[in-house]
Amino acid sequence: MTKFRHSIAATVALGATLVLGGPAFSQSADLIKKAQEEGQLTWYTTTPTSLLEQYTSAFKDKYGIEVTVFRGGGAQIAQKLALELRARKVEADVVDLSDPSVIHQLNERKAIAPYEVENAASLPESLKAPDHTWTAYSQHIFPIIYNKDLVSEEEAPKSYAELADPKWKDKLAIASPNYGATQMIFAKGLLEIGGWELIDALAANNVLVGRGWPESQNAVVTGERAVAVDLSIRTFQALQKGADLGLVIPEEVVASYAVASIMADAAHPNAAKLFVEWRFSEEVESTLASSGSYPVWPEYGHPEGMPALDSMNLHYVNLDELVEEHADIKRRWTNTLER
Amino acid sequence: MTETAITDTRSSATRFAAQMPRSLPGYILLFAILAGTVLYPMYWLAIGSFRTEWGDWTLEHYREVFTPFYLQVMANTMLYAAATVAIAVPLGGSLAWLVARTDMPGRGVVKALVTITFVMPPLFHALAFVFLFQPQAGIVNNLLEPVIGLRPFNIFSFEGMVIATAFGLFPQAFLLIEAALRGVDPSLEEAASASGASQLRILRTVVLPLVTPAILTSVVLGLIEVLAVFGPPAVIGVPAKIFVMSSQVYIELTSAPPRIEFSAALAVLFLQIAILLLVLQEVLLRRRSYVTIIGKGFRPRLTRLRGWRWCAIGYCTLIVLIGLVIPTLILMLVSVSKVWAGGLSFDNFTLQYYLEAIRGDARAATGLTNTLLLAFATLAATLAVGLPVAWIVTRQRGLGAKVLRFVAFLPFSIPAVIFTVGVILAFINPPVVLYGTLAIILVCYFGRFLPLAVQPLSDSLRQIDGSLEEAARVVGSGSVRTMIWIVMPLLKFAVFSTSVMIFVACVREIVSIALLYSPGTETLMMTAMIYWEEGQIQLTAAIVVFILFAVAVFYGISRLVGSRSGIRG
Repeated sequence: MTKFRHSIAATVALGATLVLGGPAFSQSADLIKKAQEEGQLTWYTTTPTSLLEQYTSAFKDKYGIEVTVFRGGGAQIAQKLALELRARKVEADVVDLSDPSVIHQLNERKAIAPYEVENAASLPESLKAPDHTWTAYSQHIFPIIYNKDLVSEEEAPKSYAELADPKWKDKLAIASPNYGATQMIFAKGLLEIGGWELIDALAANNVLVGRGWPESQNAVVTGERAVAVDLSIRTFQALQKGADLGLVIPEEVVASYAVASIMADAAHPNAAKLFVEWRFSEEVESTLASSGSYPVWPEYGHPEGMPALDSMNLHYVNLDELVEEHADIKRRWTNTLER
Repeated sequence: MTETAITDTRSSATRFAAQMPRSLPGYILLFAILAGTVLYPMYWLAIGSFRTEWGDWTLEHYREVFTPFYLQVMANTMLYAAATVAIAVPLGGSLAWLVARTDMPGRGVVKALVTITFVMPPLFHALAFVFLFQPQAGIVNNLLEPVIGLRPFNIFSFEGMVIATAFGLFPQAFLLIEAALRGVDPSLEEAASASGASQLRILRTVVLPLVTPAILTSVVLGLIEVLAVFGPPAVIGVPAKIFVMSSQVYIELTSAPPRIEFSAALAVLFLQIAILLLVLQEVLLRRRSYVTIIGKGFRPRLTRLRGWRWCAIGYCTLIVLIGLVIPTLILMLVSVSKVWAGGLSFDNFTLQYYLEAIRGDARAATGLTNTLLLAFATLAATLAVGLPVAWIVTRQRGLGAKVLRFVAFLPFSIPAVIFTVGVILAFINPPVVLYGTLAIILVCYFGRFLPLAVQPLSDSLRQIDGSLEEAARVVGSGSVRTMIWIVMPLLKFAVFSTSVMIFVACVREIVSIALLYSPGTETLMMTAMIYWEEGQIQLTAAIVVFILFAVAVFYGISRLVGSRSGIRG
């Protein structure tokens, strides 16, 4: 094609994207003004530290609003919120959580303000709460990782169910739902796919249960165990650092998403709304893939070394069931695998 | 009318105290501080165990505590304490006898080395033993396999946990029993010998009964301490799926969401058992004070070992090797190994982990800053409150002094885990909310370590005759002035050695910080624990080695200053 035809094709494609269904970002002048009057906001998040500085300075440059950050794991944030609610001293305005069922609990305490994110209007309904108490801003999957010195590509398990095979006795590692939000989501997903029979088989295989993703990943890296399930962002980080990990996308892979919510008693509600809207803009969503998360719009790419979301057979957990069952799941898991 | 001569037979201290105006506002302030940091947490512990996390009343926690798993946890804890003490006290006692009562060559060296071992927390022994005796990658197993074809050791067992803890605990028994043995009046033995008793008989009928209180005290103190030990249960017990109070509470509190009220119920139940030990301790410690006051300046009668002395030296060497030398060397070795079980070689040598700890993800730097902040703040607080409390406790007799003494020493008898759960509950609920800050850790350390300060300060104050203060009073000096210009200079050395002790206690502390920390408020010991949990073995070892040397240096300085001043340690 000639150069001219190239650019016509490009323009048409861009136009099509804008018209057909890419994200449209509108942030009303009114909201911006009110947010700037508030001047600051507090954000609790699991975003990797490497991105935090980038986000807070970009937001400040654009709108002049100061963002104070508390960074922790999903479970730590949930715990901090729970304790603050207890003490009736909630400091957060915007909160990111990795386990949407926690929002449900907080909702019962009327702690979350429903907010319909305009910039997320084109997102599929499954990635938003029906009552607008949370909106998903990034996604993760739970791949199988293995130590290449101990396991060849052919031998590596191709599904979670294959982990039940007795040939993996003493060779597996997994993370406990007792200590982490994404870990809980994964446990629920695993149960939905393989049932308690799969968990019992893992127990029979003497699976090493780590307190968190770092422990189970490290077991594979050091060779203490051969195979583990990992969280995609952590696998990405390890691969970027040069770890020689084998990666398998299971034939049915559990997927999860991180969600953003606004607190009901937020001291800076308008800044909070603006900030959440901004999170769904191109400038933010396009940075997710380079740090290891999947953006919620496929146009913004996917982490290097991992397949695109729509090329995988994704399994999302049943959130309502998770809310009902999570205490029982934890108890039975603990009794089966950790005691 | 007859004149009756009145003789005042009270000691000068008592006369002085009776004349002292009771500084009521000062006393109330002290009591308020102690009540807030000791009684308030215990109140919350009791209340909290009957509440859900949202504040509703419930018995569900107690219902769960009485299920087989948790009853097993309590049984494990008691068995663990009993087994550890059953090894540590004879170990410490036998070494104490060899050092204090025989002519074994090198006994001064043995004493110094055991004292250094005292400074190593049980966590260090646990880590070192894991490196050595782990089934898969343990260094000793690796060495033995080519030779005998077996990998015989598995540290991840009840026995492993007990032995690691015993080696951490035996120095305490050693120090207590050695001091008591030194204090035995030799004229008693001389008399027995002159009457024809054999060495063995003298040992059995004269010496042993006199040091029995010290032995019993070390048993009781040892039991209370093992109830609270965290390192070996976390590092050895959990992988072996053997859970005791401290590790189980840690699990409950670090789950998502943390089960704080449930831990309170667990703690309250366990406290009942600890209270029995408290009563035992009260009864025994009252007796102990008799023995140690006698005997200053006597040269004890030494048993001549003759041919047995090589056995004795061998025994002591073995204990010191296992208890101090080998763990230290292994920790150092692991901290500089590229591949931790890779053995000693130039290829495997690296300083990267030390560099990473210094420059890496800032957790170690944060840990160091927090450790120092907390240690100095705790030191300042315990001295500022401890001195007046010690003064009141030694110089005054009334009910007020007795109450103050009881509250100040209460944390000695409450296992650290239990006390910490109380602190958590007290300060995450309104009105005083300190959760997530260094302040909550400081409050916990203060409550736990105040008795550690008041004890030696009271002992030193008791040695200072009240007539000095009385003389000052007679010429018109007020109590505060007397305190500053007369009492404190005399206490200089006691204050110094107490300061070092508190500082070291803060730096070594692991059980309270494990339950209280949040990201940003961890100490160096906790950073080591976090690295361990993440599987970063060499980083763990690097931090642990650093702490070990820092603490040994501090302790060494304090001994040096102490000996220069002529104060016996």
